[in-house]
Amino acid sequence: MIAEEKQEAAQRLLELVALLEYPTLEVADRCDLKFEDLESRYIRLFVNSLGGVAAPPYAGCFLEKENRLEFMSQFSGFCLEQGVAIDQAQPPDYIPMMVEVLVMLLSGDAEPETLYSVIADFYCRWPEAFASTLREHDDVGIYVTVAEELCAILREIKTKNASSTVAERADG
Amino acid sequence: MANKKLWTIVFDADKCIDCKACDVACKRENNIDAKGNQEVRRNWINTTGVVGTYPDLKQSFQPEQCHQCGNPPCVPVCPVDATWAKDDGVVVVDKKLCIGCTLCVHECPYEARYMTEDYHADKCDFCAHRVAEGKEPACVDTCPTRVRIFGDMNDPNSAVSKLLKANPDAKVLRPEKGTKPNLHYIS
Amino acid sequence: MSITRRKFLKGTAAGLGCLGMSSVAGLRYVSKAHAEELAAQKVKYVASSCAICTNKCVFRGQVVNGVIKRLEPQPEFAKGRGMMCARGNAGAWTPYDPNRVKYPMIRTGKRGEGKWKKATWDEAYAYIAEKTNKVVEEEGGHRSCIGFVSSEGTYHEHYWHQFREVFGSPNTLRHPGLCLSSNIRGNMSVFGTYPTADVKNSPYIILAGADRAEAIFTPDTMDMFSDRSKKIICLDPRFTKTAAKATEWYPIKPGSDMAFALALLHVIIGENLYDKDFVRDHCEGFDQLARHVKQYTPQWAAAETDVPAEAIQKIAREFAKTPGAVFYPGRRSGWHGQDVHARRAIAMVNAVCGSFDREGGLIPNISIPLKSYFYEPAWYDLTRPRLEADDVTFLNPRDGSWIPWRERAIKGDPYPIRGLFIYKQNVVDSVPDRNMTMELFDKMDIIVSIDTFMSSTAWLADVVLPESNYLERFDAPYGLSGIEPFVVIRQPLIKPLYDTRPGFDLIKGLAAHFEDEDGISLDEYFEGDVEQHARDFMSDYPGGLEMLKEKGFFTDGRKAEIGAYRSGKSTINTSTQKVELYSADFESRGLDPLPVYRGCGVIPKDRFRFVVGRHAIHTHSMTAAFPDLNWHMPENSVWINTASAKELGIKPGDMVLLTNRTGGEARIKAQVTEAIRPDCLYFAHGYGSMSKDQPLVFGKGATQSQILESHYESISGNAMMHETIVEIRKV
Repeated sequence: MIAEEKQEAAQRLLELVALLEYPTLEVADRCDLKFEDLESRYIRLFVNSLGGVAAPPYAGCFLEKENRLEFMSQFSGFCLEQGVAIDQAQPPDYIPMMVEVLVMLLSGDAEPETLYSVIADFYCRWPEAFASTLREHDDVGIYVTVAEELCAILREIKTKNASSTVAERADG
Repeated sequence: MANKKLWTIVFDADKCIDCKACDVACKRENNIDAKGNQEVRRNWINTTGVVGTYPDLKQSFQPEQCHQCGNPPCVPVCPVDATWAKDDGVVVVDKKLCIGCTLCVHECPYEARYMTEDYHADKCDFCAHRVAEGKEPACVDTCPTRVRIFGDMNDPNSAVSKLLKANPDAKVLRPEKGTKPNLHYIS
Repeated sequence: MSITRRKFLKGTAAGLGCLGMSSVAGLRYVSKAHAEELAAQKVKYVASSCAICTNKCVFRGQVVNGVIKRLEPQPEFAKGRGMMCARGNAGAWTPYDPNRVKYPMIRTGKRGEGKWKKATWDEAYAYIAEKTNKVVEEEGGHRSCIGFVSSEGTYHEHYWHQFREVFGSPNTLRHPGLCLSSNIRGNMSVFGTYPTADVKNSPYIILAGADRAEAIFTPDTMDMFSDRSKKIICLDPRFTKTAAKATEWYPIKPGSDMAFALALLHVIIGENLYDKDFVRDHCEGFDQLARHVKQYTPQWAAAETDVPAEAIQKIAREFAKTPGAVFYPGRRSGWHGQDVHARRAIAMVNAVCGSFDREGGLIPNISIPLKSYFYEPAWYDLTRPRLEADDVTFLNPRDGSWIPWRERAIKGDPYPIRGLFIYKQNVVDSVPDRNMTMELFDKMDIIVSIDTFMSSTAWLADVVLPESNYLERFDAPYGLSGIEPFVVIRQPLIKPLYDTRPGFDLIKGLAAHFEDEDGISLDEYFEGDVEQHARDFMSDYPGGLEMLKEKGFFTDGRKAEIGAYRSGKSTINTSTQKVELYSADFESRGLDPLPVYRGCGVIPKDRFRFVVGRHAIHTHSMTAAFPDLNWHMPENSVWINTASAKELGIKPGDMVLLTNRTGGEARIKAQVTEAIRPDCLYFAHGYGSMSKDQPLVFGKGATQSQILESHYESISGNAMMHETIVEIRKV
């Protein structure tokens, strides 16, 4: 991935983080919804809801085979190794925070190998499930779009860094 | 080979109150998330259920886990040598080598092995990471009534050696299988 | 780009800063780590204490990369005998529960509809204050119209009561009135204290309904079952795990424990087996008791209890002749209308055998005295007496009595209650007769629920305030009394997640939005902070706070001195300074001075008595949704005896409907079993949550509060859990 691509991906990811935050008037406008309506739908999806929160914004909740506590601990350990401090007021697998970690890495001088493996290790096994849960429960549409966009960007980063890894190896 | 260990658990099963502390401690210690799958557990409590007719009733509880057999039937069936007995008697699985063929799970007469959600065989290893630090397995240290006593059978002065000496009637489960188990039951 | 993408994704975030710099603009949660953060240990241990039940077992919390992995038992903590039960282990997950209450929330839809908005703390407080002050004003300025509810547990509850007191309401309801008030009162009337059984040193233990294998209590459970040489006599309408471990089990008729105890007294006194020295030197009213129990023969008791007369005789003789035998007082009581007298009768069995202040017997608790937390009281001339002040003989003013209080609150008798402030009690699932609770809630102008997760009660509140989880808090030192007393502490394993606050900060913040009659802000009554209080409490013990922080507990090695009351070194805290077998105090209040058995009622044909009980993996309604525990019991089911089920055509797994006499209903699956009396039904507590935010238990099985009727006994005010008569049919 060249620097411009990294910057563009990082910028797009930041957009997604902003949209996953508690809604603002502006976002409500964009969804053609009254603010109060978007607010209570957001809470139903992400905070507290009927039958349990519909789409908990925590990556570990979407892992089919792994233990969430272990995933959080491993991700948190990875951040420590990378010199990235994450907000202690959120579980380490809080999706907007995980996305920001990626933005940080894209903004730094991470090697393609690192980017490739971090996606493979931490960003592969839950985004699709998160998106598909939102497809089922998000009647606003904005959050499923955000999740799908997130999947797309993550795929792109993985692919591009995989090929550059391969290309570099071929060069070597 | 003076220092070679043989890790053993002696059970005083009559003390068991079926409180499930051993199971939950194990799951937390070993990062196991059963996700509702009832087969996913490294230790369990056998029970006869309530036996008899009201009001003449009985019920007994018998905790169990991998017997860390001296002659483990799960080992030779593995086609890729992903499981073996360590020097200290504990039978382990290398998840990276395991191909998920389930042969070992079927071969174990104690049903001590299970398949994980990502499809490799798993089992109790006496919390090898804790034992390496000089601690007891989680199921041992958490037990409210001290059903399990853990120690080295090769050390004649260990609590397990003494207990077995004091309880010549101690039994192993399914001795007819010839597995040479390292779990002993004094009640 | 698809239409939806174009519509939604169009540039909201601030631009990124320069790439490659040490920080990136626009990031909210992530920054470059500082050197000290990087140097932080990957694995750390924090000493703290459990909050999943009342025992407060001490653990060493293992935190890996900032995430809690396991709560290992602290082997040196003698009260817990170095163990950690299933619930304690499962607690490691609780901070990360995605269904925690994360922010202050204000209801925007109808009550229970589940429409909320996130609020800042100040918004939530201001909303509460506005509604509350309006109500108080409408009621003419008397603040008694707000009810305060709390459960026991942490030192933070003291701050809650401080808030209630300076706010100016006498109406407080606590946990004991649903639990052990009658037991405390019964023992107090005889011994002047609520003693602890020296289980460890007792070779012979009678348990009447105390299911110690499932209602885990430290150190009694450990001591009772880890030494299998003890003879255990278990009386219980159910074949519990305790019954399974007992030497003998008798499926006693619920409510007749007192008849059993009286017959023991009959045999022990009649056959001259009592401890003559102890009775002569330390008991008051023995002759009256001896005359009184002549009528209670084993044959009579056998008919009342369904325990054979020969067994009663045998147990009486064994009990009296075995040094160190104890009739275990139990803890949770509150079964039937005569509960206080039943507890008295049990206490007297111990008393006449001298099983008091001796090894193996009942030992008055001691504690490690800590410096207290003082605060200025606030006075309000308008404050009225609490609603049910005249309904209960020995009403504990801090605990209250739920059942009569709620009835009066619904009727507005003698004055209306308009608001409920609830601190971590799951009223909806835990107080008997949920229909009445819903009626109470309907009358409220404001309901505030402070909780750590979305209980049924929080779900039905107007404002929910999130307290930090016990693994995120520093809680001041807390004394645990006993034969061997301890002090325990709570220290944070991780920082508080989300926008939550520890109790003290939360309560002080709320107080800041109220004033007393002189216009002084109520938060000015709250001094210092919890760390400061911790230092103050421990100031008599140099090094004590350090020990608490390092080990999670403190002891100076003291133990109750056995024999101190016999030798006269300590004085029995009754008016006669003796063990009172005959209570002049009761007599002066119009109560039976001796325990008079008045029957336990007849169950009509085709009806059943509903009995409550515990399960080792659950604490009340709190734990059923913990994944590690729910795995063991995904749903509860109603126990019905095989013979009774056959008569009614109920098969295992059938869905049945239970109906009580006051319109309470529960739909639940049937568990056909030999392990219960044919005239009783039982199901475990904690399932059938109304809160849809407890997905594992929402709509699964039933909760006891649905089916329990409203009954209380008027001596201690305890709710009566075994007075509910139900019908069961297949649906």
